[in-house]
Amino acid sequence: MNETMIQFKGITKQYTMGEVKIDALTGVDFTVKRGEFAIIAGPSGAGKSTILNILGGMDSPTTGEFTVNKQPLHRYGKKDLITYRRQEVGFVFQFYNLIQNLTALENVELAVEICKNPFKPLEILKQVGLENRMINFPSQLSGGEQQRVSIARALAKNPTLLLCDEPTGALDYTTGRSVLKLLQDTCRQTGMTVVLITHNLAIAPMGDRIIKIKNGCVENMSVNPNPLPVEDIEW
Amino acid sequence: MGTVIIKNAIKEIHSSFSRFLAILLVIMIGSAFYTGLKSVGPDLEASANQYFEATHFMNFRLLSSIGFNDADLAAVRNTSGVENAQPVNAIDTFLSFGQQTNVAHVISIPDPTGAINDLHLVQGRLPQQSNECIIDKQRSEAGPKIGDTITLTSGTETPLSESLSETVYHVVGIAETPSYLTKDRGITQLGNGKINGLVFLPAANFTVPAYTEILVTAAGTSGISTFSEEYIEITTPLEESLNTVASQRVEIRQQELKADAEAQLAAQKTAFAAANGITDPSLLDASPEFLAAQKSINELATPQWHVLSRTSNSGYLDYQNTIDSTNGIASILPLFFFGIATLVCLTTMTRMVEEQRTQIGTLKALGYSNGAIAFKYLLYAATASILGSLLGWAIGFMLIPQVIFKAYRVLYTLPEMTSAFYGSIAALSALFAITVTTVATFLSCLTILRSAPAELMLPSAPPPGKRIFLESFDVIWKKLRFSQKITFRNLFRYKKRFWMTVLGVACCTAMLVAGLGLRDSIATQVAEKQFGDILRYDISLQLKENVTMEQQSALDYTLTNNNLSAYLDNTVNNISVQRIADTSDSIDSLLMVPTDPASLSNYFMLRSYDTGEPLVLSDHGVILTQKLAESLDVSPGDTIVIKEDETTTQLVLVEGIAENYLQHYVFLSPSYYQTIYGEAPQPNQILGLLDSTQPQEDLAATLMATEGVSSVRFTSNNEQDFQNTLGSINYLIWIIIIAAALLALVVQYTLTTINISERFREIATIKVLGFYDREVSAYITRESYLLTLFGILPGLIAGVLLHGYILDAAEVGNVMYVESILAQSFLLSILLTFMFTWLVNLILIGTLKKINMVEALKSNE
Ligand SMILES: Nc1ncnc2c1ncn2[C@@H]1O[C@H](COP(=O)(O)OP(=O)(O)OP(=O)(O)O)[C@@H](O)[C@H]1O
Ligand SMILES: [Mg+2]
Repeated sequence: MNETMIQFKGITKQYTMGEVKIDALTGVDFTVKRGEFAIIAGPSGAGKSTILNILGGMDSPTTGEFTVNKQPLHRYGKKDLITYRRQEVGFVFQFYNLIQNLTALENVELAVEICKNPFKPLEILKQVGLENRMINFPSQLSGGEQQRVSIARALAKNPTLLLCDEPTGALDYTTGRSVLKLLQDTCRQTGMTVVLITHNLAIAPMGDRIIKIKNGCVENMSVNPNPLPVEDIEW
Repeated sequence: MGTVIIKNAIKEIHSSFSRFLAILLVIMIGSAFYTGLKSVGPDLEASANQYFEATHFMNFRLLSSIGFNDADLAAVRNTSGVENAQPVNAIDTFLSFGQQTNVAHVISIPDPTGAINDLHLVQGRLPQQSNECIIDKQRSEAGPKIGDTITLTSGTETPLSESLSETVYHVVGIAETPSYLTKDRGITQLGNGKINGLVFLPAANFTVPAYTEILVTAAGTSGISTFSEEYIEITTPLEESLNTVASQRVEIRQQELKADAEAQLAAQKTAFAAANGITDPSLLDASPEFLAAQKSINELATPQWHVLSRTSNSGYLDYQNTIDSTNGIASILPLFFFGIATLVCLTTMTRMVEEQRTQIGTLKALGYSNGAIAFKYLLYAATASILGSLLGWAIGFMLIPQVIFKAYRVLYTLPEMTSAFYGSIAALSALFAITVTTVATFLSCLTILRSAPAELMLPSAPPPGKRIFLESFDVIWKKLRFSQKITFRNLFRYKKRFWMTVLGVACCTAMLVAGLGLRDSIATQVAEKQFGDILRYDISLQLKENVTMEQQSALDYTLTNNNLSAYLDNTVNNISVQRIADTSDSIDSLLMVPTDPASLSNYFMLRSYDTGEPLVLSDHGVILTQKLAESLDVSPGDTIVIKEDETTTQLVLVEGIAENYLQHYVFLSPSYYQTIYGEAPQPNQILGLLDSTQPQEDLAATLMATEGVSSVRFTSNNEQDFQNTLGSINYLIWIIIIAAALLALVVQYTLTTINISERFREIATIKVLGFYDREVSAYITRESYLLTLFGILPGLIAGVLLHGYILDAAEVGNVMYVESILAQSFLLSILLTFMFTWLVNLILIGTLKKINMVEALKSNE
């Protein structure tokens, strides 16, 4: 459990919009160990999503070095980044991004079609408690249920890294809690490394590691020796 | 309408330029095609009229079996309705230039005052001396130029010096004449039977006493189109008057001839009496030679006059048919293009309005009226369609006619074909384009404008997923791979896109099938079937009238010793045919009476037009060719009237209808001929099969030198002429094919880009999941190919229907097209359609690569 999973060293990201240059990240350093439940928190516009996108191989940093699972991703080309996404990363978005024309089961199947060692889609859906809704289309599911499908889709790929960008952002309190619990349980049971973004610092105590971001750099990083189960946190 | 809305519309054009361009392009192609095809017919008509006016093209041409004298000319001039009448002299001679010798038709140059069929000087000048001449452009292209010397020699026993004062000429000019509108200079009894060129000489050079023809112009025809009803109304009475004059003059001329001959005979008798001291006139009359002379005077044949209208000029008729065919092809095809334009406009505008629903909601909430909001989109669409129309006009009125003229110029000698702008055609096309786009836009706006602003602020719910019909068939569905299932679901999910694409693809395939099919039907197959299957003789010889027995046997000898492996005597007569009890126009055709019907199939294949079974000539009926039967609307068992001229008509029974594509024929067995005419047919034609080894020119010369032969014609020459005529149709068809191809590209591009923009998030999602670029594009292009496949089948069917319709409209005169389309044209259409899909996909793969996942997934639309 002491092995380094993620290492960011001096990562910067600059966006150019015409004449204007926006520094989204101004030098980010942090590490996450294998099997940790890491929480990235910070105000809106701090650069959280930017970090996650770089981490997930959807975007590249302007400068800096970073490794995931010992792979020097900053050196990777486009195609290698896709392979990395395909084999090692599971994404959960705020707005689920399910494919409307596919049933819950098929959405999961679509993701595992291209993986090397996926889990069985059916089992994963059972695991997230949707065994009865498998043949339903996204439009027939509630927001929480859709987010569960989207988590199932990410998990079924059997990724080494699960990235969640405000997964509860569009959900009500109770549903949000159950989704967080699902993520925490998965992390504990499978030993998968989870990185979760939130702007709600109240849920920080559930993480093994809390990284606070402000103005494009890490303001503070702390390790939580006694993470709490979601059930014990109120906000 | 505030300027805000207008500014907004202009900004919109700027920001969605490719969409604007798609509408503009599709309207441009549609209107270019419409105006182009529609204006070619009128252009051809106007060009001809202009040429005819400028050269004072004759309205009637009079021919006489004994030529005309000045009294004839005066009588014609005095006929009411005649504006001008001019005499012409002409003679066929051999023309030698360097090593070449071939037949030329030598014509007198029209009198500069009141010229009819005036020459159109292309180069050089008119003759000023009696040893100067002008030749036609076509002859000049193959030989003598200005400054060269040509020699004319007689083609008969009579020396040329009896007809012309000079026989050696300097070429001083090159000209065209309206008498010959095509490059076909007609036939002659000299040489190989084909006239190779025209030579124009000063009228004074002709030393013959009689004029060959008289050209007549009718009063009141200037400014009237020669192809109009009005023209016929004006010239028909004159034709009747001229026929009356003809019959009067024929009578007088016969009397005169008789009187002259009598006087000559009397003079001879007197001279003879004086020389031999005979005093008894009865003795003179009884002498055998004077008896014979008297007999031939008494039996002097009545001279014949022919009054020929413009339509008897084969070039003129061809030209008129060309106009009709062009108009036929232009009748429905352009509408197809506008149909497709509507489709593109509808999908594009619907998508645009859908994308801007939030903006529309905001405007509504701000209190803008529905009208003001819709105005922006209407303005957008109208601007695109107006600009498209204008560009389309430029191409349609200028470029397309020029391309088509280029083809027709190969065929016709018209010095100038001019393309004009036709207000009515232009207005109709613009009206069509603007209506189509604005109505489509209005329809696209309708649902959104009806919604409440609050509704519009929410993102539109994507269409919910649904199980498709196919899934109820477990057997099939279970067998499909996962990716195939997704493809099928997606196809049927977006119903509108499905139908639009299928329809768009179908239209394109249909146009390609129609275009390529037209080429098959009009060009390729007619030539193949007519000259390959039906006309099997290689050579035809026209015989002179009253061939004697000795001549006949000499001819037989020549034929058998000159590589003709077999030949058939045949009687061919020009007749006109009418349906019984019908006052409708009669149709000119050829009556064919093969002397040996049993061997006819070796020379002319008579086979049933529907079953293909060989047909046999019987003793109590005739066989008609297909187009003639269709035009007369008769079937086997019906009776038709055949007329040799106005007075000799016969009723005959139709027994069979034979496949044939060029020219109308009525076939008759000799015994049936005997039955209805009461006499045996007089063979006047020989159809022969060649061992093709002997050079044809030599053969023609040998045969022409044989007594009794008046002309020789090779089937291969006929086929060549036919192929040349069809070369021009090819241009038209290429325009259709290119336009169809362009349109196919625009349609496919529009539909596929809209598909991508609608499914932006979906594509971003699968990219995030780790699909490689190749897999992402396969995810989308699989659907395009499948839709293309679905569109092709109805497209092929529609293409066949469209093809049939156009063919019907384009088929004029005595030509019949082959209805079937060749398999390779179907294949090519399918292949091209797929190629367009592939090309568009190629462009779109680039777009797919550029889709930014992060952006797409950031928000909830
Ligand atoms: N594609 C882009 N182009 C320009 N600027 C960008 C782009 N993406 C992000 N930014 C800017 O970078 C900064 C960081 O953005 P980021 O999305 O990472 O913030 P965040 O911490 O995720 O905020 P939130 O909690 O609101 O999601 C912001 O100032 C944002 O405006
Ligand atoms: Mg964010």
